[in-house]
This record gives sequence, structure tokens and C-alpha cells, in this order.
Amino acid sequence: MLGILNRDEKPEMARPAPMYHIAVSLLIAVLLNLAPWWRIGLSVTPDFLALVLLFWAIYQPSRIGMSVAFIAGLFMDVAHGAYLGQYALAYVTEIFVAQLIRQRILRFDPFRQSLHVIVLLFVMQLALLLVHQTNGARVVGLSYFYASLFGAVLWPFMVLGYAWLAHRKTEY
Amino acid sequence: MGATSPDFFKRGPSLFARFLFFAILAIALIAADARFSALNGVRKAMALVLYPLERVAAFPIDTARTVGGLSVSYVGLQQQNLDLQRQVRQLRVELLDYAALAKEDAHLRQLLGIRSRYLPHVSVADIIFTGTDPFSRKILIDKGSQEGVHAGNIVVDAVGVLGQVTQVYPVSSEVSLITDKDEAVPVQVLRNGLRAIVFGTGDENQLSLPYTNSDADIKVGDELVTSGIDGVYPAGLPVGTIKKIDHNPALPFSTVDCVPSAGTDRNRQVFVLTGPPPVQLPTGRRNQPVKTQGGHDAGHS
Repeated sequence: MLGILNRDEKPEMARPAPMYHIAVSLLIAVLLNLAPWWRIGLSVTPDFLALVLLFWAIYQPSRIGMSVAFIAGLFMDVAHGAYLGQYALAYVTEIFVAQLIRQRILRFDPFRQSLHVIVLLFVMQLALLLVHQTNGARVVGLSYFYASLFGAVLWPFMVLGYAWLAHRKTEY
Repeated sequence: MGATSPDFFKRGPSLFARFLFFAILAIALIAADARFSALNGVRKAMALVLYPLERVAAFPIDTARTVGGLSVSYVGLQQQNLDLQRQVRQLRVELLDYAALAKEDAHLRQLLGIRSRYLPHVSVADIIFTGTDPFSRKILIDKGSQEGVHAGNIVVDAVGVLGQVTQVYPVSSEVSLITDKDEAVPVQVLRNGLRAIVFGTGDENQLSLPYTNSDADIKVGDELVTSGIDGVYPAGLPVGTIKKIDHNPALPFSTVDCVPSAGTDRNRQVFVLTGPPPVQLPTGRRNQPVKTQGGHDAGHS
């Protein structure tokens, strides 16, 4: 069960997730990030990659940490045409804070966890904002941070969905 | 494995030390990329890896749109067809006139020894990705150096100037829109030929003319076209329409806002005016649009 739903089971004792789960989920997240959402009228989309990296950093900290976040960030920099290292810095900061408060987050159920996730995604966006501001970008409105809220709403569904998928697999 | 080991068995540097390492590395990269274009090779290689992913990511939405497009009514299509035919006929008549004018213009220019203002080769490109990043107004198109796109090429849509190619990859390229913060376009008021420089604001629907004299002859509704004095943008392409003029007697310049003619939200296809760039590109900061020359005489006509 990976210790996602069962509160008594220590999350640290959870079995490591198969590597291909991590790889496939990261690939899906990258594809979702690159999808042309604006063509169907969605202007604010959450950063799916930040969300999936966060998920693994919290549930499988031995597999996914700051180094993977750094490399993933570099690819997002190229995709967005940002300065190389901008998203890398944002993701690394996000994962760092996540690992600091990881033990605390794991005590909550997925719905309460998403309140922590808001803060973590907010930290990520704040790091991006900081780099932009030092490069003299214009000030953006609060709507910039809707992406964090949107991402946090998706969090419990992601956690429960993955738990369900992994659980179903082990029964066969 | 690591997940099962308690903290006191953990090896390697502490969490904070690792964070510091990656943060410093990232900041060093940003500085290297922002100040010197040292990392263009890395960026090009990574863009090549991302390209198939971008195509795959666009596939479901494109398919959904195609399927949605299949269910249009026959009557609607017929009507559209008739409209298009009428439009083609009208354009043909205008083209007759245009051909004669072009010939006359070329002749006169030859007599006067002025270089031709006609558009270079135009190639059609699809927009693959418009960044979700609200800071940078950049789009990715599916034509790259293999199709003859160069950095500095101008990108337009059917109604006006979109921007300039700032980074070329083998099969795709990055376009900085004129609404991007760093972009400047030399323009002319169509009505009276007044020259000015339009700057992007970072906002999708707003451009500004910061150096317009408060007594300049400019009105709301005036149309702006490229003046071509920088040698980068060909002359005569629509840029935008003046929306608001704020005249403050305390300042030497008025605040003039302008709505861009072209928009990425309206179309999927853009046109790249390919060919080698007319001016030598400055080496220096990456992603910096080609600087316009003659920026100082803006506002004086």
C-alpha cells in the first residue's frame, strides 16, 4: 500500500516504488506541462512537473531529490525560453523545503496535505518570481499564484489515484 | 533502500549543503546564460530532445479539435465556401492593382537608388508552444535552421507583426513577441508619418510609446506601421492602434498606450520572413531582440 493511506504504517518503511513508475509519471508530467492548453482556452495551468516531483520527494525521498529536480528544471527552462537555471532553481528550492517538512506532511491525510502543497508550490513560484524581478520583469498580479492553488487541488487526487493504481497492481 | 535507513545512518552531505550546492549552480547558470551566450549549445541539444515531446503533448488537443471540426454543418460550410470565394475574387482584383503599383514602385526606387521594400521569402509555421510563464512573451514555432530560419527573422500573422526570432534550433525556433518586455519596434504613424518606437510591456494586449513628445501629432485610433529604419523590420507592416493618450503637462513625454494588431491567441499559424538577417546580430546577451538603431530621434518627426 506504500503507506499512503494507512496512517499507522510508517511511511519510511514503505517499499520503494518501481523505477518505471517514477519515470512514467515524470514523463506524463512533462507532457502535461508542454501541452498547448491555451488552445482550449485554459490560461492558468498548474505546473504538473513541480507537483509530481513533490510527490516523489515526499513519498520516495531516496529516489527523487534535488538532483532530479535540477535536471527537470533545466528542461523546463529550455521549453519556456527562460534563462537556463531559472526553473532549476525554483524546483530545487521547492524540493528542499519539501524535504525539510516531509515528516510533518506525512502525518496528514492527502486532503490536509494539499494545504502544505499550496505553500510548497507557492515557494516554487516565488523563486521564479525572484529571478524574474532581478532581471527587471514587470510586476505580475496575484492571478500568477492561481497556478499554485490549482496544483494543490490536484494533489489529493494524485496521491489517492497513485495509491489505488499501485494497490491494484500488487493484487495480481 | 535509502527510504528504509534511519537518519543517523545517512551518508553524504546534509540537506542544506546539497541545497546550497544546487542553488549556487543554478544561479551561476542563470548568470552565465543572461550575461554571456555561453550555453547555447546545451540549450540547442535540450531543445532537440524536447521537440518530439512537444509534438506528442500537442497531439490529443489537436486531434480533439480536428474531430470537433468534423461535425460542422454542411450548410455552414457551403456558406463559408461562398464567403471565401467572394473574398478571393475581391483580393484578386486588389492584387491586379498591387502588381501594377509594385512595378511602378520598383521602377521609381531604381531611379532613386533606394533598396526594395518588398517582403523576403515567407514560410508558414505552426505555433507549438506558447509559454505558460506570464513573464516572458515567447512562442515556439515548428520551423528551424533546417528550413532557413535565422535569428533576427521577423514573424508576422495575417494582420500584423508578431515578433522576432531570437533563438534558432534545428527543427524549431523561439520567437520573442513584440509584447515581450525587451522588445522594441521602430514605427511610424500611418496617418502622418510621425516616427516613434514601440516597446513591449510584458502584457499581451498592450504596447507603449514612452518617448512621444507631449506636443506630437498623435491621436487615439491612429494606426502604427513599422518604419523600417532599423533595417530589421521591413517597412509598412501593421503593428498596432493607439488606444489611450495620457497627457501630463509636468512631463516632457505623454504616456501613450497601443493595442497590438497581431495576437498569438487568435491563430495557430504564423509566417516567418525567412532569409539571412539584413543586419549583423550583436553578440552578447541571449534572447535579446536585435536592437533598433536610431532610437534617439523617436518622437521627433
